[in-house]
Amino acid sequence: MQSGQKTSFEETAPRSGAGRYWTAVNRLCEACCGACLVLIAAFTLYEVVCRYVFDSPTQWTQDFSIYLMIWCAFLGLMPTDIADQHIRIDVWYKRLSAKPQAWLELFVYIAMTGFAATAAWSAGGVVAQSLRLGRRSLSLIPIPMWIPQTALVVGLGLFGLECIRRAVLAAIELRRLAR
Amino acid sequence: MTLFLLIFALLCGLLFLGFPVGFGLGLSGLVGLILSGQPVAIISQVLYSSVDNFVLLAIPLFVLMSRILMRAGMSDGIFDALNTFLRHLPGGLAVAAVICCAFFATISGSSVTNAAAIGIIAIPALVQRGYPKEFAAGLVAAGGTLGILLPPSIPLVVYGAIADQSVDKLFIAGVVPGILMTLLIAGYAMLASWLKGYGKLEPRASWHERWTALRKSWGVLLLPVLILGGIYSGIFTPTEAAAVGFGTSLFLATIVYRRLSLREFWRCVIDSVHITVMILTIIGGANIFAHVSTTMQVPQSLADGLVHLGLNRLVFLALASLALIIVGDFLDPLAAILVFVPLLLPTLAALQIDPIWFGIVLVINMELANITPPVGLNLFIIQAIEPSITYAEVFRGTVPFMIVIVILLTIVLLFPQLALWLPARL
Repeated sequence: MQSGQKTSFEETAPRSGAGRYWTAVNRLCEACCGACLVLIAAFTLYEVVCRYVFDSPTQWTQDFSIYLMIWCAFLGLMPTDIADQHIRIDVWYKRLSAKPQAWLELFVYIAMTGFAATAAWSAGGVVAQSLRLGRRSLSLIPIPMWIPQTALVVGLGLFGLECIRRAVLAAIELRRLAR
Repeated sequence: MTLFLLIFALLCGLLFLGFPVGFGLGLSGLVGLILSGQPVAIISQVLYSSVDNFVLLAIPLFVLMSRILMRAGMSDGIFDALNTFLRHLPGGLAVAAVICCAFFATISGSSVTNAAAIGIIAIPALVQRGYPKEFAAGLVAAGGTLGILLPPSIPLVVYGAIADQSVDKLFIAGVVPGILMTLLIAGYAMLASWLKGYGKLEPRASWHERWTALRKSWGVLLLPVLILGGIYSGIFTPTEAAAVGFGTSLFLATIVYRRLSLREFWRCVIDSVHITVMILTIIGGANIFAHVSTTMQVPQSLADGLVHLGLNRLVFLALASLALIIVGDFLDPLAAILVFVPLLLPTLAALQIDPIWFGIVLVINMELANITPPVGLNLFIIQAIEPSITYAEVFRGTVPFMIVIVILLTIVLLFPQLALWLPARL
């Protein structure tokens, strides 16, 4: 079920130049998502402690936790793809020979680039509108809405770039097989 | 409806080609938006609102807690303790493995995590003590599915979010069917072991030995009490209970049992990020797909059609179960829930089917899907844990347990009070 293909990032990333920067970006995204997750747990625990120990519930933990989850969900798209953890049904895929696999990989990543680009473009419009209208959340502590919404632009944008990288790798693989 | 069928066929094709499930759903939804002339710009709003949900916060926290417990190897203490109580009985070790699955299910919330955590310790122990590999693999694969029926359950959190149902009530509705399933699987394991002579009988453990084993795992034994007790006494929401469970398991793993270093903890966090993002991507993609089907009024048309056919609710549920089992065999269970529940919700209302009852029926169907090829996640997990067992052997081992789960499904369909009695008292 899990993809588990040969193209894990560690194997496919170029060892020099842009590849190193890309690895660093991936690590940074992963670390940010990890920090978001730990903060969500800490905020939720803090809320429980404040409510039952100090009898003074907070007004911000729930909203902040949701915004952190939004950032984690979208910023984590790229690291999750690089780690081949996006679940896929590869029962038939695995039975194909190397060449059709590479063609399929190319098709999948070109299509996913299209999806990511459309979603990031659409999110960009929403962020621009929020900035223009000065939209804020309806919660007790009004947060500018562009802060959580930017997660979609950044996360989907980076994921789109990763899809392009994977598509290029598939094309290189096809060329190698043709030789 | 024709356009929807076309989009559905596209979805099946994309998944067949090996598209990541979340993106397959999202992309077919996007094509649906374009073909039906709707604004494409809506997808970012649908994606955003998919994640902007407090109920879903429970998912990363339950995942994080179960990763910590799994990496720290906390399930072995429970297994050893149960073994001291049961090892002198025919099939005693097999029953210990099933009860261990049920116990870990009350902490993990996931079928796959449950099968992996228990499989690592139980399968080698079962094989070493004379149980056939197929039987051991099938037992743990089926027992692992208890992870999504007994509370807390990640699929029930997701169902609660999309069907707008109380997660507390859904969790407690799974208790009686979950206990019943534990008894049915354990009963079959005991009967098969007795009839076929599986496993060596071991001498009865002394009370001192049992007490020592229990003392070693006291912390983990307290976790379900804390999580479920906290939810049902009204102290915590499910999300808060998950955070408290995470804090407690971290305390136990690092301070009490000293089995988790800072580096290993960070590995758990990163693993949890990957799993959470994967789940949320499926939720986001499925919401785009569901948005398209809703704007095409597919759920309403389906409900009208089914009501017009004059189906009673039992026949409808039996047909829906059959469809869900078939679909679940080819689609990831979470995706199956996310695609089909929005389609079926109006029909549930029209036929006056209790959504809590349906949630439990749905999860039992997904349990079956988890151990049925080609997309039986638990089968893959068991094979990954024990590479000496082939995929076909794991599947053959699960067949008797699939029959057990079908029996449970029939019982829950015929007697809805099994699922509804406890929530009514909440």
